[in-house]
Amino acid sequence: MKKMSGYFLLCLSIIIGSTASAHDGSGIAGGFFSGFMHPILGWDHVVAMIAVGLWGAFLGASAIWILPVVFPMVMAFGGALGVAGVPIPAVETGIAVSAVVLGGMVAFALRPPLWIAAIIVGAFAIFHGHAHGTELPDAANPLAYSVGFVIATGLLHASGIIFGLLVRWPSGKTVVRAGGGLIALAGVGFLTGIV
Amino acid sequence: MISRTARMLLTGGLLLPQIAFAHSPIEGMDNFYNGVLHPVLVPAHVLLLIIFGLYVSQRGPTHVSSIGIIILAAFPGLIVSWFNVFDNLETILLILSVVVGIATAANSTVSSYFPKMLAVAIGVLIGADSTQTVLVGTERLTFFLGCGLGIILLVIFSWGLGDHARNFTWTKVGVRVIGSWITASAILVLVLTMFSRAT
Repeated sequence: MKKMSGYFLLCLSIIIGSTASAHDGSGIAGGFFSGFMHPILGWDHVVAMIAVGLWGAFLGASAIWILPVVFPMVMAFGGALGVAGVPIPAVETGIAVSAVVLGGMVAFALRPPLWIAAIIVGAFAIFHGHAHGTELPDAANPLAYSVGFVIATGLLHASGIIFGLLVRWPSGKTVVRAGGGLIALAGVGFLTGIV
Repeated sequence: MISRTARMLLTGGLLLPQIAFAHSPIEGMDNFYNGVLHPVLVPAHVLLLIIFGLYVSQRGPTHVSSIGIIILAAFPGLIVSWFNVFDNLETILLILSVVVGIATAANSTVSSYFPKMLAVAIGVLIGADSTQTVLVGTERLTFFLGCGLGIILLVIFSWGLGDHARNFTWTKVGVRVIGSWITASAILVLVLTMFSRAT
């Protein structure tokens, strides 16, 4: 009888093991989905990514594509540091400050030269990439995970760009600047721990 | 009481679906279609084929021969994979994804021979990385033929899409953005691979 219950426990553990692995984000689809959701589920990432697109649209023709091209590449560098276990001080603070600075740039309608804008965006991309990179080794399918979070990041940029296209109209410009102000306020909230 | 044979069968039955799942992209599908889907379901292959198609389209109609070269190069690669199982080809494919991704994001032509050389390397390597050890004889041949068709369809599809994108400014920008996304993804996985081997 004791032998039988031991056998049934073995069978049960095999079945439970299969069920658990079906829900932990394993495989290509799971890896992609968990990577895709990572930037979207973090408010601090979402507002900063939208701010990048918003600022790109606000700065005009070249910036609208240079910033979204620069950001993922530098973010990958930050992610590599995260994967390698190279510590970056105050990553979460850096992410919150990115929302304050990028949102503030839009709110105050600041237009620095394009190369300075690219450096600012690139510097913050390192913090965002590091946060993603530290999660990467736990992902079931790292490639699918990274493709997922890079695409989600790009789509957040795109939503910022689309919103930013309102600057073509005078009233739209006010709306976009107000949006930048809200993002900067959210960043202050992240910094102080209110949000 | 359950007999010893019945216990073994039950335990084997419970373990078998996991083993089968680990070796086949989609269960219950014939070998030819599994082969067609293989380049689509292996992330390193799909990334490289898509970005290469987009890169060639970005270079203009004069470089369209590179698409023919990659298709021709894939079949010797598949033949090689019949006889050998290669390890770590995925790392080389990811490095090539970074190279082609950066070239696409920068919209640059290094040399007129560069796309052709890339086509040979990518075709042979993706073919060689499509080993299917669980299949033998006709089943493996059918799988490889399907795989060849999958490579052809994927690279032609991405090239066609990129060629269409050349008509509009914002879609040309979109192609460059995709180049940066693929570069970023490939860099991250390369670093992860390096550090997981080191530890």
